[in-house]
Parts: sequence; C-alpha cells; structure tokens
Amino acid sequence: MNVLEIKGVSAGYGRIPVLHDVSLAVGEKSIAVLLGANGAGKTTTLRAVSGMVKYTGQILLDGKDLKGLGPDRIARLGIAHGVQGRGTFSDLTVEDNLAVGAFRRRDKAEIAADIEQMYALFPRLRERRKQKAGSLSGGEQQMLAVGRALMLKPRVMLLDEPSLGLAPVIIDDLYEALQRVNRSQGIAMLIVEQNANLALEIANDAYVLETGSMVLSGTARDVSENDGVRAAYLGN
Amino acid sequence: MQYFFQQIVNGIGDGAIYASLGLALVLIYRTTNIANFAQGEMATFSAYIAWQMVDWGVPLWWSFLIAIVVSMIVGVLAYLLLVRSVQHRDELTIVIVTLGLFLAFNSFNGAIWGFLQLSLPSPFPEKSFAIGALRFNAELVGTIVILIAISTGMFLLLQHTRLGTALRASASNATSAMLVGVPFTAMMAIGWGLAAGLGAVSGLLVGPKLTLDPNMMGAIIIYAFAAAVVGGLTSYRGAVVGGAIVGISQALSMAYLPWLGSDLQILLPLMLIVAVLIIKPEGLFGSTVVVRV
Repeated sequence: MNVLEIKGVSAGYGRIPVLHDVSLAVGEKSIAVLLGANGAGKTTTLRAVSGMVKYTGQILLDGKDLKGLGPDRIARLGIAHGVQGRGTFSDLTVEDNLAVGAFRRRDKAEIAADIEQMYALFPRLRERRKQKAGSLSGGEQQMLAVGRALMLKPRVMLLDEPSLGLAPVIIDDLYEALQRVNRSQGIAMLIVEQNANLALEIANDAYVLETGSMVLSGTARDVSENDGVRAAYLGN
Repeated sequence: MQYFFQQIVNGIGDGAIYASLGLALVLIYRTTNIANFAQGEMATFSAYIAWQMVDWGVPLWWSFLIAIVVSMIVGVLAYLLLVRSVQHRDELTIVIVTLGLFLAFNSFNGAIWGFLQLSLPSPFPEKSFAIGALRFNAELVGTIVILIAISTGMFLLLQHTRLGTALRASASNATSAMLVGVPFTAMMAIGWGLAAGLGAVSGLLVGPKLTLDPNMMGAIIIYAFAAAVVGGLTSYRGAVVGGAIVGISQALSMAYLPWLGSDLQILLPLMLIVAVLIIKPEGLFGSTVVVRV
C-alpha cells in the first residue's frame, strides 16, 4: 500500500512548464529519494504535493485525492513539508517552533513528550530551546526544520535538500536521525537531494528527474548501481 | 512637588488610553505587518455602538460588551473583505487602503450619528480618594486596571496558548505556518478581530472623557502611534511604556509650559518620540532580528 502517490503530474509557474507527466510513489513506512540536477523540478514536485503549486494529474494521500486543497488543509491531513533553507519561524523560540509544528494535534501530554524526544534526537536544540530560531546556525536551523516537521506526526514527510550547506559530520547525524525516526515511528519520507550518497543509503526507492521528466526509477540499490547515476550524482 | 506628582498621576491615566490603542496597533502590526491608520476611527465606531445601545435602554456594561463584540466582528470583516486582497502588495498600497478605511469609518459614523456632540456615560463612579496628598479618581484607577488586565490577557493569549503560538507563527512566516497546518487567513482575521476589540476598549474609555463625535479619536490615534513607535511598533511592553511617556510628558507640558497653549502641547511628547527614533531607530523595545548565515 502506498502512502503517497503522484500520478502523471504536470506543473509549472505561469506559462513556464516545469514538470511533465511525473509519477512516483512512496510506500508505507518507506523512504523514497528524488534525485536530479538543479532546475530538474524536484522542489516543484514537493510543492505540488503540499498544495503550493497548481498541477494537472493526480496526487493521492492514502488514496485520497488532494487536488484543490490548500497547503494548511493538506498539512492537517498529515503531510509535513520541510522546505529548503530556512523555513523556521525566526522570531519564535526553538521550543515554540516545535510546539507550533504540532498544531494539527490535540494530544497535549504526548506533544510535550515528543518535544522531549526531539531534544533527545537533536541535543543542540535542547541547549537553545529558549533562543529565537533566527539566531541559530544553518545546521541548527535545519535540525529544527526537521524536528518541527516530525512534530506534526505526519503520514509522510517531504524534505527538500536537508543536507544543504551542512558540515559532513552534521549531515551524518541528520541522516542517522531520519533513519531512526523512520524505523521507530514508521513515518514515510520523500527526500529530495543533490548529495545522493547518504540519501540512497537509507532509501528504499529512488527516482531521477531530468528537466522535468522522470528518467529512472527503481529500488535505491538498482538506481545507485546505474552507470549514469553514478557518474552524475555519486561522483564516481 | 505635590503638584508635580499629581500631574504624573494624571498623565498616566491619559497614557493608559494611548497605550490601549497603541496595543491594538502593535497587535495588527505583529500579526499582519500592517500599520492600521483606521484603528482610531474604528474605535470611534465602537463608542457610537455603545452610545446607541445605551440610547436604546440597554444597561451600560451590556452596551459596552455588545460594542466590543460588534467591533471585533467588524474588524474580522474589514480584514476578510478588504485588507486580505491587498495584504501581499507593496506597503504604500496597504497604507492607502487603511487610510481609505479611516475615511470610510469616519464618514459612516458621521452619516449615521451626525456631527453633533453626544455624551457617552462613564462606567466608573464619580468618586475620588486620596493617598497622601495625591488624588485618584475612580476613572483613573479603572482605566489603569483595565489596561493592566488587557495587556496581561493579551500576553497570556499570545505566549501561552496554542492559538497565540499559531498567530505568532503566521506573522513570522506565512508559508511555513500553512505547511504545519495553521489556517493563515483565519489567523489574520482573528488578529484583526482582537485588535478591533482592543481598539473598542480604548474608544469606550475615551468616549466618556471627551465628547463623542466622529473626530473624537483624531488626536488620540496620533498619540497612540507615537506610543507604539516607542516600542518599534513590535513590542507590547513598548506600547505601554510609550503610552506612559506620551501621557506624562503631555500632562507636564500643560502644567509647566502653559505659554505653549493647548494647540502646541502635543509638541513635547512628539519631540520625545523623535528623539527616541533618532537615538534608537528600532524603538526602545523593538527587536531587530539578527539572522545568522
């Protein structure tokens, strides 16, 4: 059973087309990675899913058609979208950022427990819990963005280049955390990455976009052994 | 010396009124990034609603309550029907729209209730008492108590409730707020409704003090902006302190600089504000968010 299904989606900005007939699926409790060069349409794909871009075709969450729903409705249905770069609330504290991530939930006691869990996952955030998010470093903000997305207890989490601009050690930590969350809570993930190595290591399935079209899809293992992918995205 | 302290006490009373309208300005600015020039005229409208209720024989406190609720609904509608469509345009467009709202409310109040002066009864008894040599009347004490109550209520709402966090999140980053499921339009409408409620309170405090006419809040909105600017338009504490600064300096200038006359007594408070803006352009309590790369 697939949590998220994208079927024949085309989208663009104004009259400029970006995506052509793109299809992909994220299975229950699995991780899918979406690879592609700059401008291939990876971010647009995520934006279509979270309702920020108009599209033709079909996007289904647990079989339910999302077409025509606004981003806030889609988020409340269980799609968490960690946008690229800084999507944090810069003038709210770290703790308030995490709390507002749980906006769709009503289980007060569990929300408090989950905030603690985020601090366990990202100890740096605990040290800075009372600081405004705008004063965090890039790496800390990225952790906060992931933590906030997890607070939504999503059915599926969309992450746009979570490793962008981070030191290699921090990237390792981040991916380890993502894998742990995926295994322990069964949250499905669709991760967009340019640095493909780590993403492919933790992913079940992989897709490759080129200038708006899906050119390759399969299990993460198959895709990582593809010669073209190795040359273009894995640096060997 | 006693005369000096009495002036300060009186100044605080006026300052509390400027602060309550200033708080409304800050609330709208913080939730929707808009400086609402119509806030004063909306407050005048609230005072007229209360007057109308009293005129129809509704008990005073009920009249005030109804006026506040009606004002909040009108605030929500003003956002949904008018402000929403221009919210993401440039600042000048938004300024013109709120100035248009100013004229609309001003003319509406005049058209319905006329330009003759009406009198709105005071909710406070005509009593005063003395502490040492200082005299406090019930109105002054009541005004300060109400200001403390609404600022505390607003602080608790914004800092310690789920709705408050969502309101602050929407103001901070609209896209991210929607992506965690916060209904952005509803938050903005609630922000305008709450601000209109706060503005109504200040209108209801001013109404009995002055006489009720369509231009009642004309000077007060300027003092309220001055008060809010002391806090950089973003700080609730700043608006309260700013209100006190404006109120006290105004009272002192009336008492000690009588040659300025009633038309020029606005000079001292405004000079103080200009001084604040020159020395600390972000206001005494305003926050400039430092963003790290």
